[in-house]
Amino acid sequence: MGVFLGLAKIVIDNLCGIGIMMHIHHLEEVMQKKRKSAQTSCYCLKIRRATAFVTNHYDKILASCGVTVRQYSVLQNIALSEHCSIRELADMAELDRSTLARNLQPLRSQGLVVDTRQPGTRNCQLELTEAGRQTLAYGKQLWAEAQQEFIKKMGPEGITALENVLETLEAL
Amino acid sequence: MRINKQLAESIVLSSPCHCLNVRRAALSVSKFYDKLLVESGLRYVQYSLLRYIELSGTITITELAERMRINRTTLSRNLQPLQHAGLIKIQPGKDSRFREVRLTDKGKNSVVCANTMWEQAQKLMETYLQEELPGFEKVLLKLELLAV
Repeated sequence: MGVFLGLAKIVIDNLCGIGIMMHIHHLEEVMQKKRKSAQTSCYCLKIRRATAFVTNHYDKILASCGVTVRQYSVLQNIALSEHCSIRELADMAELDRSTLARNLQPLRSQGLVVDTRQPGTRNCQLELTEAGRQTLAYGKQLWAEAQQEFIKKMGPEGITALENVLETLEAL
Repeated sequence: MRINKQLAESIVLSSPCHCLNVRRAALSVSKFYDKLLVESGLRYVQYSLLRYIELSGTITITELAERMRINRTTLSRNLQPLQHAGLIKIQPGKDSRFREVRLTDKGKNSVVCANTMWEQAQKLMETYLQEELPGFEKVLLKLELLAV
């Protein structure tokens, strides 16, 4: 009887094991389909993709003020350093100049940022317009909302783990 | 340039933007890979695209953008120099609405040559992260799950 029970237990354990394995496998498949991204072992690709996910989260919430999170931080940097040149702005944002120019261009065409340099002078002096200041103020609320929601989703432990990892990577 | 002190103080006092921090970290990792790939003549982004195209054989631009998680405009900007260098070939696909991309022989050689450099970068990352590696993987998986 004991032997029989022992055997039965092994059979049940294995069945459950297979069940769980199948369940995990199924979940992975579903996730793979949903996220439609390639499996990778590359650390660089992993962190770059993570960036896309996080940026997307902030962008979605900031959408109602009409700018992306990158553009929002450009607006904030211009507000922070009145009359700055493109080079100064690029240094502040740690962006290369062509990336910055790509982010700046829509802000200028939307009339949120103007160049107030005197004719005949070389470096541009960027400034926010009244509309730019309003967008920044509204954006600030939305940013705070995005930040809060992100923290909530990650949980306190997740945030600490994230901060630790990021700090290590930045020092690379 | 004049710094707006009041605003600067309020930014310092608010919590740091996680989005900005993740981007900064990704930038420093990308630069690290760029440096190790330098002799291949490829930047990391280019290498990763070539490698994924190689893996797929032929892939539509739309699908490539989706899989690599970059938008179409950025992808086109990144593919252009590769096409100019003769590493990839872009042509209309079976469904002529979608353009397809594949590697040329030159592109295949380029990937083979860069693979060793990439492996070196991976190894160095593992050495650098050491016991933080499982934490790194876990956090990134969590971020990915946020999007699902």
